[in-house]
Amino acid sequence: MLTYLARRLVLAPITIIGLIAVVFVLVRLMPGDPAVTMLGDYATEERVTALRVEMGLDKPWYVQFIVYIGKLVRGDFGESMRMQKDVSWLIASFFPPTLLLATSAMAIAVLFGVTSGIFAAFFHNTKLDYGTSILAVTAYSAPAFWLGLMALFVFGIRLRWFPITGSGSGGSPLDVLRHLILPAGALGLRQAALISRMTRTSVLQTLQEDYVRTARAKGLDNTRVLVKHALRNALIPIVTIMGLTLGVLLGGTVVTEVVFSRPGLGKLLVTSVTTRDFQTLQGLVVVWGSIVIAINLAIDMVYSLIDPRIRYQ
Amino acid sequence: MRKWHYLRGVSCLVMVLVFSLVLMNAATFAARDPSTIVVRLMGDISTLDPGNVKNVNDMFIATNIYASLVRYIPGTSEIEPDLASSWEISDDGLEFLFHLREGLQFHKGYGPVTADDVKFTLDRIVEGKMVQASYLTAVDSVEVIDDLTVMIRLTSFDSAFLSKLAYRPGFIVSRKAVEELGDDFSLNPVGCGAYEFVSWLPGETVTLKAFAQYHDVQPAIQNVIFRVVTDETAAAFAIETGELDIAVVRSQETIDRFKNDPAFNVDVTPGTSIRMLVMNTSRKPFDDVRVRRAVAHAIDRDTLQAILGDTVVVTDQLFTPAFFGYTPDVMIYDYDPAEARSLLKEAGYPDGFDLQITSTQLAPWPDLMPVVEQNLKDIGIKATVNYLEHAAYNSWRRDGDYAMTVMPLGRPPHPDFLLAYSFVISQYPPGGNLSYYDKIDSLVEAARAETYEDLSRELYQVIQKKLSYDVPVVPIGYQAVVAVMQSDVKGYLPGILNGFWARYLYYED
Repeated sequence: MLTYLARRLVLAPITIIGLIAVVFVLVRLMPGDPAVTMLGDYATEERVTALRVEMGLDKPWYVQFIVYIGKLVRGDFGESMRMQKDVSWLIASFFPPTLLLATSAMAIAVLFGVTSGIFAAFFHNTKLDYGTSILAVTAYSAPAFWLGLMALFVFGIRLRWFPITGSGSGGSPLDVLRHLILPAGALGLRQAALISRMTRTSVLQTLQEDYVRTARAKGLDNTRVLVKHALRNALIPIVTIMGLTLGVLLGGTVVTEVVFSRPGLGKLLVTSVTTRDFQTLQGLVVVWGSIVIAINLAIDMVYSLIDPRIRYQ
Repeated sequence: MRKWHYLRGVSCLVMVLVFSLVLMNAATFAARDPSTIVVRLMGDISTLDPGNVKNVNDMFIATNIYASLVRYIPGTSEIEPDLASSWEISDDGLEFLFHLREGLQFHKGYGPVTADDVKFTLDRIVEGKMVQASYLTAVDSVEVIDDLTVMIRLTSFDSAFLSKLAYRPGFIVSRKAVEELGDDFSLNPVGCGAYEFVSWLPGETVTLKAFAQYHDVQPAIQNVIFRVVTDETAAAFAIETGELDIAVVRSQETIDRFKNDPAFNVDVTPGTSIRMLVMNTSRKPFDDVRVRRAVAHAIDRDTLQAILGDTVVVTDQLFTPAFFGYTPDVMIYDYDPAEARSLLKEAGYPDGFDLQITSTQLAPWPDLMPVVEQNLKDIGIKATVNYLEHAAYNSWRRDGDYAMTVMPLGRPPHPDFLLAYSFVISQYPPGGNLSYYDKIDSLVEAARAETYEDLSRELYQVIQKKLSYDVPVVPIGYQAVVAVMQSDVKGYLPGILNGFWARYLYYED
């Protein structure tokens, strides 16, 4: 177990370096010069050239890459050209609202997904099951931005239940919560649907296992059979999908943050692309990539906790 | 049946949560704070250091924080005193002597505004090669005569110099604040304008409050919150719910939504940001003026206006009446496909030619280029348009390798800004002279260097005529500045220079 963990921890930075290499090359293949974007249309050729030298963009990409990795190892993400601020500072200031949004959406997805999935499985082939299935398929078919706009329209404009812009930061915790519900709901609903379907299938499968029949034959009541015997065994695929979900949700914040006018990494990412802010873009990819890698690792570890039969060598 | 209890428990919890939030919201929505106004910001700020601001979001904030020696009377090209109560210009036009008002103060206790701060502001931009440096190339030296008197010497007369001081490069910063704050100044700005900076929540809001020691009329509204709402639909929703009091908007859909609703007012003002089709006069087929005139005759402006609605004011002239030296007395090319075809035939293209046009994806181009494409096809020019994302377009056009492209350009209403950037030889690509036009250099120099105002005006009229004969570019229209506001918001004055002036706003009782 520990050797496995150690091996994964050694592999993680290598994965991240590979990821950076891909992004590094891609942003440089993208048409559009960061120096031109930075200086505006009044810029003279001398100023553009000077700035390119200043930014190190005149060097071949692999030299830039080695310099970047060298800095990164020392914890230096470089400076954002657009803001002329440290990228680490920028990411740190935009990270909290995104983390809050993604984890809340995750909580909603798990709460509603797992609950509805279990009920659908337990009452399978009843009206409850069909109803849940229809809802889940509908929710899963709706793109996040559309769900977001619909939520804005219904709960923000028609009913006026919730504010529709900003994150309420700087206000009370209640204010933050009010601003959070619509975007987190819009973002989490689609994943809730996925988790719901997955849970239903998985629980249904385990319910047909011999040990469940044995448990029933012993005279255990339904709840105990479900919770003690079926659910734990059904958890592996559910946990897998939850891990994937957090990655999807972090990505989904890009659209949700724009629709709900919330600050966050997603919006920072979009701005960095349109302004060709390479350093910020690379920094974001490193952070995002690290999070996804960490989640995957954590999920693998959780497997062995859920199912003691799983051993890592 | 314990499982039902679980379900009930969860749903009860959710219901209670939702309803308590709804109840608390009812109170929040009802109350409106008359001392605060919430303004849409179309994107987050990047810097509030006036030496480097360049996008509309930065400008929205900067115009409220800073003041300059002179300023535009909003909506016009006229200059009026601001920090300087008066000024004298030497006969040769090379020396500008400014007299500062007495008792001017910087925000946050940074002390009085002095001649030294003016010198520091301008020197810093030029020596530091900041973004605004290109506006101040004519500045030779800045000399402090005494605390309230400052002399700016130019290397050559620049009739647009006062206009430049009224624009971004002229926003006066506090030397003490810049030296104390260093790099932090860009997001902790200190100026002497109507509002002082309070806070910036990254990606969310910029908050300003009225400056008690402002030298001009005190603003009616004490607090201004600029809220970042990037998405146009979200902005329209937020105006409707009252989360935004006033918003500059870009799409016709949004305008139509509020135009006939008495709860809102819509203000549409033609700006000074032009959209034009550019033809490369250095290569075939547009080296022939007849072909360029044919293109000018081919454009169906009525259809364009119908498609662009209120967002763009379609024009057949390069300048609007808002510009210094404007004249309507220029060559106008009416929509006349038959004339266009015969001009093409005369030029030796009886069957037209193939034409590749590259355009930016920025609005309004994707809406208007299909019309242009069709108009050109109607006269035999087989045009195809391809679009580049804006940053990609900006880099691409610097190579100057095209027959026809497009150009959006926002400049103050003094003709020198546009002419010296887009129609002189020194600005051949990668500069802004995308049409490689070389016929008015001496005229532009002369008009700029002419100290006698009426003569300068006349020279600009000659230039406008010359340009209309040579048609290196076909003007399409001026981007309108459209603002939607709650009906009780009064006093809105459109910022034709990408700015926003909160100090004129007030609520009607």
